Amino acid sequence: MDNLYKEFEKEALPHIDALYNFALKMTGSSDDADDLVQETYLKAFRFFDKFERGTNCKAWMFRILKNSFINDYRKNTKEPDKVDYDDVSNFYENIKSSDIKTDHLQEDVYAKLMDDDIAASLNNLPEDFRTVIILSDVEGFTYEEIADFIDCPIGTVRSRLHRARKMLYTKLFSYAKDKGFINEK
Amino acid sequence: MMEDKNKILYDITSYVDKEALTEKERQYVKKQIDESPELQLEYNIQKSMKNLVSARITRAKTPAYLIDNIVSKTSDTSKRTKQQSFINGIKEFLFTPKYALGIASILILLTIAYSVFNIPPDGGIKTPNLFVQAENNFASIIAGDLKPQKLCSNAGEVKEFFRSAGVAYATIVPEFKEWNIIGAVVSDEQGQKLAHHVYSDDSGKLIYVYQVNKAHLTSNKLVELSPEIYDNLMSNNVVKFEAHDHSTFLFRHVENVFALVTNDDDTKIEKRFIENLINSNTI
Repeated sequence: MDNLYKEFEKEALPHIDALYNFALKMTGSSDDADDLVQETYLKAFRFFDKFERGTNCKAWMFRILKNSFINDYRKNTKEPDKVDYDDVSNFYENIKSSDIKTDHLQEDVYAKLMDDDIAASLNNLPEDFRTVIILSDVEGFTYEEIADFIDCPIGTVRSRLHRARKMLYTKLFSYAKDKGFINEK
Repeated sequence: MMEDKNKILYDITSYVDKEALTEKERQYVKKQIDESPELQLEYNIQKSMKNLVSARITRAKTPAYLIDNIVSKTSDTSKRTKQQSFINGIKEFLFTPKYALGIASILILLTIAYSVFNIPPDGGIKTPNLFVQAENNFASIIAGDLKPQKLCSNAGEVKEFFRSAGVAYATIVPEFKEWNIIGAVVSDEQGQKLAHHVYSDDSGKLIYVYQVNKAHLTSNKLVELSPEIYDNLMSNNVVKFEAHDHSTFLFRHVENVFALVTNDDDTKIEKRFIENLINSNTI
C-alpha cells in the first residue's frame, strides 16, 4: 500500500497544474476548480489499483475529471450549452473568404486584444468545442489522447477542433471590430 | 461535394496540428492551400487561432493549499484503507498454516536486512531486534500484508490460542474499555513460539503488542536487544521511540518484555494502556 501511494504521488501529482487549468476553464470559478480537482484526485487514488500501468496517466486523470465534471459538478449547477452540431457546422463552415478579410490575419490585430478578452471568448464557446481547443492548444494533447479522453473518434476531435477555432475566430473578429482594432474597408 | 469540402477543411486542421496525415497527404494539402485563396484563409484561421490560444491563454499555477489538501487527504485515505484491510482480514478470519510459515520467514528476513544495512531506527541506539521486528510487523499490519491467525475478541481466547499454538511462557493480555482485542498471531523464532496480539479502537487506531519472556532477550538472537536497552527495561524504564506516524514503546512487566507499536495518541497509550498493564496483576 505504501508503494501504491508513492506510485500514485509520482504518477498523478505532476499533472495537477494541467488538471487545475482545465478545471478552471471548464467551471470558470477557482472554488469550483478546487473542488473538482480535489474530487478527481480522491477518485483516482481510490481506483489507482485499477489503473493500467504503462498507459497514459494524464489522459486517465483527465477522463476522471471530465466524468466528475459531467456527473457531479454540472448536475449541481446548470445544464450545459446544448449544441446542434449541424447548425454550428452550417453556420461556421459557410463563412466565405469574401466575408473575412485575410489581411486581419496578417496584421497583428489580435495582439491588441487583452488576454482576458481572448479567455472570455474561449469561455463563451459551447462546452464540447471549448474542451477540444483547451486540450489541444493549451494542454498540448494529441488527437488520439483527446479522442481517448472525450471518448469519441479521432475524426470527431479533428472536426470539432476545426469548428472550434473558426468559432473563436468569429467571436474575436467581432470583438476586435467593436473595439475599433479592425477598420472594414 | 460537401463531404469533399469538409474533408479538405479538416485536413487543413490536421496539417496545422501536424497530426493524422501521411507525408504524401501533407504535401497534397499544402498544394491545395497554395492554390486556393479560400483554403489559404482556412489555413490562416486555424493557424492563427492555434497560435493565439497557445500563446495568450495563461496557465494558472495550482494553489499550494489545494496540493496540500490533496496530499493530506490521499495520505489519510491510504492509512485508513490499510487499517481497514487488516481489520477486514481479521473479520474474514483467514487461518492458513502456509501464512504462519510466511510470518516467520518475513520476520527473519527483515531482521537480517536490518542488521546488514544497519538502518538506525532512532539515530543512535544500537539495533534492538525485538524493536525492529515489532516495527516491521506493525508496518505489515498497516499495509494489510500481515493478517491474523486467530480472530479473538477477549483475553481468554487470545491466551488460549497462545497456549495451544505452543507459546511456552505466561502471556499478559489485558482488556480495556476503549480498545478491543481483534486478533492474534504466534510466530516461530528459532524454534521458540512468540506471542503477538492487536487492539483497535472505534476510530480504527491500532495497538500492536509483541511480548516475549525476558529470558528470550539473552537466549534468542532474533529478539535480542542492545545492553543499554536491556538494562533500561530491567530497571523498569519504558523506552519510547517516536516516528511521524506511529510510536513504539519497549517495557517490562513481571517476566515479560513488550514491544508496543501504535498509531494512536502516544500520551494516551502511556497513561491508559501501559500504566494500566503494568499496574495490573493480569497474567
